[in-house]
Amino acid sequence: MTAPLGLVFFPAVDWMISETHPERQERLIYTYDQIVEEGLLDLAAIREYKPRVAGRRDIERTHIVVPDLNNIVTDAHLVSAGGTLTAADAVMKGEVKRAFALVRPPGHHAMRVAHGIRGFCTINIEAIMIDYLRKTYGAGRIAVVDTDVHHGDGTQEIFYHDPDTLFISFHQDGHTLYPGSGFMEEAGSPYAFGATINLPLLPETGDVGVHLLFDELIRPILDDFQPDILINSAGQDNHYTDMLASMQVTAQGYARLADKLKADIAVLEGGYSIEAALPYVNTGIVLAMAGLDYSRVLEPDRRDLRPEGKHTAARVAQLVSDGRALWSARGKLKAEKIAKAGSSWTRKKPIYYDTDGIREMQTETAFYCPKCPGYLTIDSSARGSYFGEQSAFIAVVWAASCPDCAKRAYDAVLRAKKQGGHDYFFVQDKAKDLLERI
Amino acid sequence: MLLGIDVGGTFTDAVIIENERVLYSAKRHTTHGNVAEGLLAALDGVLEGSGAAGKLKRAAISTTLVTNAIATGQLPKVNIFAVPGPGFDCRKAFPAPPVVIDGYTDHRGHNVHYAKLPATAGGFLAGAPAVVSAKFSVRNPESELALERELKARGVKDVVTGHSMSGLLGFIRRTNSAYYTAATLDLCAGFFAAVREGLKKRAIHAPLYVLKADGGTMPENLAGRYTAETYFTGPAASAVGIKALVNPARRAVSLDIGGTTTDIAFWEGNRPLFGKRGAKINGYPTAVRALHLSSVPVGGDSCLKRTESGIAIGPGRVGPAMALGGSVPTLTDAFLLLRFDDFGDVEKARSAMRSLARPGEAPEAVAGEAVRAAAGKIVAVIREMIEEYALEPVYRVEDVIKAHKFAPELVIGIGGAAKGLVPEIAGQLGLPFDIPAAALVANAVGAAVARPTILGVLRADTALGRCILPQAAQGMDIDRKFSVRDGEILLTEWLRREAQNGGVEFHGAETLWQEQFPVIRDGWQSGNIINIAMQLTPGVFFTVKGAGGQ
Repeated sequence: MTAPLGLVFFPAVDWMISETHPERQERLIYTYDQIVEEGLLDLAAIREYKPRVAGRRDIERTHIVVPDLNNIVTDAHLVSAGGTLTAADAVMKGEVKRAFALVRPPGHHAMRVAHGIRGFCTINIEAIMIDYLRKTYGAGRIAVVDTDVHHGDGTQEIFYHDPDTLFISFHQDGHTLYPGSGFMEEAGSPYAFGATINLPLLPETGDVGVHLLFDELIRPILDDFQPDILINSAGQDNHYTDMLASMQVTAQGYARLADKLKADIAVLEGGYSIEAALPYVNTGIVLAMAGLDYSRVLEPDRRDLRPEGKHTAARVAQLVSDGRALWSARGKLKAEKIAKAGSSWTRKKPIYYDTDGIREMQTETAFYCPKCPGYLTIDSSARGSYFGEQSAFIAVVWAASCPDCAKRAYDAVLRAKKQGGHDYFFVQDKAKDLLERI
Repeated sequence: MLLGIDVGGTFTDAVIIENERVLYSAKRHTTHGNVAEGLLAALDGVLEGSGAAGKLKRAAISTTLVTNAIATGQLPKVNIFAVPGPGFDCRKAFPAPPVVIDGYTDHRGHNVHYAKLPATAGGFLAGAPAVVSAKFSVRNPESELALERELKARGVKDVVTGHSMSGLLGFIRRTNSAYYTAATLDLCAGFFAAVREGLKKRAIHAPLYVLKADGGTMPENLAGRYTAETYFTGPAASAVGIKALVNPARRAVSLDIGGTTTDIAFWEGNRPLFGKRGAKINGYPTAVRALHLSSVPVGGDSCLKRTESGIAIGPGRVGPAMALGGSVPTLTDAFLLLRFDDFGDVEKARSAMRSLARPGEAPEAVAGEAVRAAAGKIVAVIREMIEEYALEPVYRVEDVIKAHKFAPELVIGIGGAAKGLVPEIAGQLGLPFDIPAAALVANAVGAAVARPTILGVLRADTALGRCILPQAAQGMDIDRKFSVRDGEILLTEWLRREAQNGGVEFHGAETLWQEQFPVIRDGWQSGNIINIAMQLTPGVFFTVKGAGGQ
């Protein structure tokens, strides 16, 4: 029998970044209390799953951890990543209609190359799930709607060259909040232009603004893109009590959004108001995804809830209009960008790991090919990691890369190794489903 | 001397045990209209000529009274007063529609909005028992206590509160436990009075105990208050019986194979494994703690049919074995022909098997096939249970990483059909087996020797400076230094007092689980939250080596 909702609930009550860090052991304890007291795990509409442990191959399909996975990835990460895979399997095998991986630690700030922890994230559990869906079930078009208050910069970065993964993130404007990115100009590399949509909201935007943005812009884009699988990066820090951000969304706002979105799979991201928000937001999302009445889920304390102002509404209106323009012109713009880029496209980016204090500098080059999606090279050097300075030269062979491009990718790494100047050399070969050390 | 009586679906068994031996036993038909009648008949049977009445130290009974009353729907009206606050709409979650009262206590136990019975709250029967249940009452029972006072002031005699049912989270489970308790209070009071009266007439003045679903007993006075705990005690009695008769030291799977069903339980480190959250009664989840069990509709009376692919077992039970005068071939006929059993007419058993044979097939071959098929059905369920157990959610990294599969090393069989099936089941699992002597009265043995159990819960919140024992509705102020150890001492003391109040000898308590996590405010630790659950150490007074005497 297909249950309406599969729930992978994993609070990891024995894992923390540090004693007083927001990402600490009791983050989901109050949520656990609420869910058990409400009796949600006893409902016929909800089937609870135990997370499995993700394997090295699952992680390395997505990430290149420098120097090696064992250096920064803990058992907790393997279980939270495994939890997303359990959720994906439950949906793809038809055991449940949708699934919610209510797991921690989170992942949406982790990028393809990982030297340490950034934004509380070490590995990107959502991206790992998406790559797994592609590899195991041949999933085609996938859309991610990131409802965390922070820009999902890791997920954006990992799928920046992939036209089949539509990444939509709304978040508090990067001028006012970590990680400082997520503006509409970041719309994908030329080959995947328009498959990244960033919607920076002004602080104090609440339920009204978020739902207007969803109804007027996100819904029509999703309807147009027609994903085979829809994923929700279900961060909960747009809540009005979250101390790391300044938004005004309520548990009802989040629950109604989950109800409208009807994601196939939701994955918990951030949310650090662990007593005043998470118990209620999670109860609301779980009920909404299970198709049950969530209208009675209300925070007991609403003193900090303020009405939305004109300026936040004006920003929403602006985003709707700019977003529509970008979406409708994306085909033409993409062709222009590809023509301008020619045979390759390069970007240099500094990446700061706030949690670990690591500074990474990357040069990423996408090589284009008339017959296939080409391949990618990454030149990465990091200062302040556990190993001091370390650098890596990496090539990525896409699943659909032609044999010539695959060879060029391997040659590029071999050439770099011959030249010297880097500590580690990798080829992430998605066609062979292998991370090779050269 | 200890007296144990087990009221089963068909038979009521009574045993008297002394010096680790079953001295006397008796079997009588269960009288469903008046359970006490059959119970006392079995009692007379076991007492007859024993001269044991005056020497009995304890009388313990396991009864299907509550199970049957619930199964047949003979329950009186109960008024449920629920304080769900905001959250899941629970109005359809209970066996009866509740009167919803405004009010809310949050997960930390802050009484955000006091619950109060509206002056106009009518529409409920003042003569009927009432349930009062509030969300998070185990964090702060004030709302439930206030409503209880108001209802009593308005003339309601029996009020059952959610927090008294269990100290654990699960508002709907506590409410349902309270509902089934309230609905069976009168029934149990009448039954216990009749049993007590019957004991007195037979000059038995030993204290009376009643078996619970968790395989422990409780004294009569507590049994009269926590009646829902006596639901589903048959399998619990059989598990304690196995504990007494075999005391499995290894990981084991135990099978109680009766006429119609086989109950399967798992054992680890001398103890049966428990279900995760509590038993379901009539499809409603409750807080009643119960064993991790599965029932398979395979037993000695299961009828046999010839199908295209082989011999099919049951599921129905049409009547007794043909060897015992029945009209349909059964598993018992197969056992008899294969000499696993030695009662009934072997020739009739042979013709029963012949009626299922293919042309040229020997009746013994048919019997062998039937036994293999029946064992196969049970083995399949055992394997499923092992898979399910491995998939039970856990919430700690360590528990996922170090998870191991439950791998039984021994098969234990009791019940009337154990001899016929257990060797084949063990063979299919590739395991040794054990069928203890006295296996036929194992349930009564279990009741006789089961220790009393009481489970207590404590929650301390040093950031709020409060500690609570929810079941007792007992709160106290604590300081910042309050530790897990302090909590264990408090809880042990409470268990000791509860035991004393029930007339139970205190023989030690054990911690079932404990957790502690910090409360962080503005980047510094403002206190700790501590949760502890402890119980009187469960088990049996002594193991029983087998049958002797009469």
